Amino acid sequence: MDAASPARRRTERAVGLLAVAAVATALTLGLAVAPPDVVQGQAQRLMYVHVPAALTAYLAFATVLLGSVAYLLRRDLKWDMRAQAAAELGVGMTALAIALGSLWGRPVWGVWWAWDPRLVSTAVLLLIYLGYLGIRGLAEDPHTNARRAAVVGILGFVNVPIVHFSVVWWRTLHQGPTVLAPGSSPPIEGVMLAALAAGWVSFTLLAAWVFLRRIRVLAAAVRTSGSAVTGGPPIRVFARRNL
Amino acid sequence: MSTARIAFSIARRDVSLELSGREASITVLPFVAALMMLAGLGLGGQGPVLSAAAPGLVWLVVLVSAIPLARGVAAAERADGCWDLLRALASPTALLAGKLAALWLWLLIAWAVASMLAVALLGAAWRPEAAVAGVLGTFGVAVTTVVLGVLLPHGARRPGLIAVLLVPGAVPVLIAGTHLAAPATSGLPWALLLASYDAISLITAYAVFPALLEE
Amino acid sequence: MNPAPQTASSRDSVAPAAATLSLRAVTRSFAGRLVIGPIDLDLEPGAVCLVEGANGAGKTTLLRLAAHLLAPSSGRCRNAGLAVYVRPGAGARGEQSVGQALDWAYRTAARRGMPPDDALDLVGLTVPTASVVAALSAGQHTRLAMAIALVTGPALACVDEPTAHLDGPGCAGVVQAVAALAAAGSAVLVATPVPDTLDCPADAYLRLRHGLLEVPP
Repeated sequence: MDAASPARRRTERAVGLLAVAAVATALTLGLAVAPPDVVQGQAQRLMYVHVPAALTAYLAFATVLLGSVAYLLRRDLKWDMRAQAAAELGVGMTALAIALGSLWGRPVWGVWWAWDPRLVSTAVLLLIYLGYLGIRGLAEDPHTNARRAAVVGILGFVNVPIVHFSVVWWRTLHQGPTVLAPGSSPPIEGVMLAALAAGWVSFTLLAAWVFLRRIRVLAAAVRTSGSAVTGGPPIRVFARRNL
Repeated sequence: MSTARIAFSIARRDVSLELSGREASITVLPFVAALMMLAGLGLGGQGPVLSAAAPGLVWLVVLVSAIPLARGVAAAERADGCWDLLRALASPTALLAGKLAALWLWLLIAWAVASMLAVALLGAAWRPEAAVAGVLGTFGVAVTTVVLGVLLPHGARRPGLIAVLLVPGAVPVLIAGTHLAAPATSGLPWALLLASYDAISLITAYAVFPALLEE
Repeated sequence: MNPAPQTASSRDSVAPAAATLSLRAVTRSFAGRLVIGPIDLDLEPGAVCLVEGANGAGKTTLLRLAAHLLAPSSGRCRNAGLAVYVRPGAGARGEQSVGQALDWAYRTAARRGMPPDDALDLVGLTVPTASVVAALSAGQHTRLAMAIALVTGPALACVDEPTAHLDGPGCAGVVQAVAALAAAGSAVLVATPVPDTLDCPADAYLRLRHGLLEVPP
């Protein structure tokens, strides 16, 4: 049933094991070694998960763009599967980042949601890629789905910088620097930085593992459903006008 | 026949279809009026609140009115069996340009009606910069709507998908359009933002349109 | 035109000098299922090719591939010049008048085809040109679709089951329209489920079975 090459399976297992090690390190650093924040207290530890989740999401959305462009150029469903796996991962990570940010914002900012540029553009990103996932499964034909999804994947991503710009300008014209603006936050401590870095590494590895597994499952689904029948040798027909 | 002439011919055909069928004017314009009316009621009917919210409301209404207008791009053509003929007679670029021109015109009309209602009903101030936003903003929305209209021609499944895809991506138009219409902001950066949004959308649409037309 | 079929098949590797349509090892699959091909087909300018096949044999897919409306899953499809695909009831928006629909197609195709009035006469559509397309009967709409193909003056016309909804004179009109297209140099690919209903002289008769072309005995 599973026809993935042994080398691929080995890579997947290696990435999985590395991810487990990285997660263990990150948990130790984030929960035990790093001290609670002077101002924000224990809630600050959420940042060790929130920031890596957001970074992984951006990486995933960039992968969607790459997969989409490569599919349109090559018309190979393998690129479409990569785009799909990355989009699912990206949506999950963005939702996680927003949810964690909200949990952190309640004790620290006193609100669940703030009209911060980064928050708004991340939420818009989540909405765009939810639409992207909605495009899939509309058609029976995998290539039709892939083509439509690729177009949305490209259109969605090229809008991201300009969405971000517009929200940043909108904010700077409306009110002074927010809590997240540079300069107002105290410099980050070394141990905390290490915990954040460990969190980032473990999220990236974990995401890579999920991504590899997902494309293997998607490829297996196509192999079982799409056993293409090949016709016989072509019959040549040449119609000439009879005058 | 050159690409430009075929594009013009497609746009003119859409205008004459509208003149004989009045599909958009009968549905979209009353819809725009109803939205502006209900927005005033929903916001409590207080003068200062209404005039402050009016520029943003205009753009929200324009975005929402693009959703029913998207049907005219490909869905209505397919329903009448005309899409094949359009694809045969026009190159992807000509088809994009022709459909874009017609949709831009409908969105400009929707925007103009919404803006007039904002002044009349909500007491919004009128600024010349708002017209710049109207022209540039509706163009960007029209580009995205044409692409999505071709992408999602079958409304039978997930009919709301076009809204999910169209509305979040149009954040720059909403923000810049609102600022250009609101008093006491400098206009130029916002106009530039809209122009770059239009340019990026148009270049992307041009690049993906041939792939979009494949079946 | 001579009704005797002239069909070169099997190992004939001589490519025609200036084929209007040239399909090479073309296949098309939908959702992983092969519905057509591999097919090789060359049509010279002015050649009429009649394709018969049961429902689901792949006629529409073949015609849409030939008209460049469908991309082949593999193989190469090339056609010289404008290719139109015609099916009954298509080609005009319901809000348009018959005259508007024909004029638009004629002008957009750079007036290369038959003038609209002549096309209407040929297919035997006698309604006033101001009639709204949505008000036409199914048979009248079929005739209009054929007239639209004529006014575009295509290099290749792919005509899908053109006799649907047509009476005797209507079928005769289709045969005349096909002959007029061929006389003007268009290659014509006509698909029909029942060959008896369409007494159309052709240069080649083919049968499509399970997505593969056959030359009927």
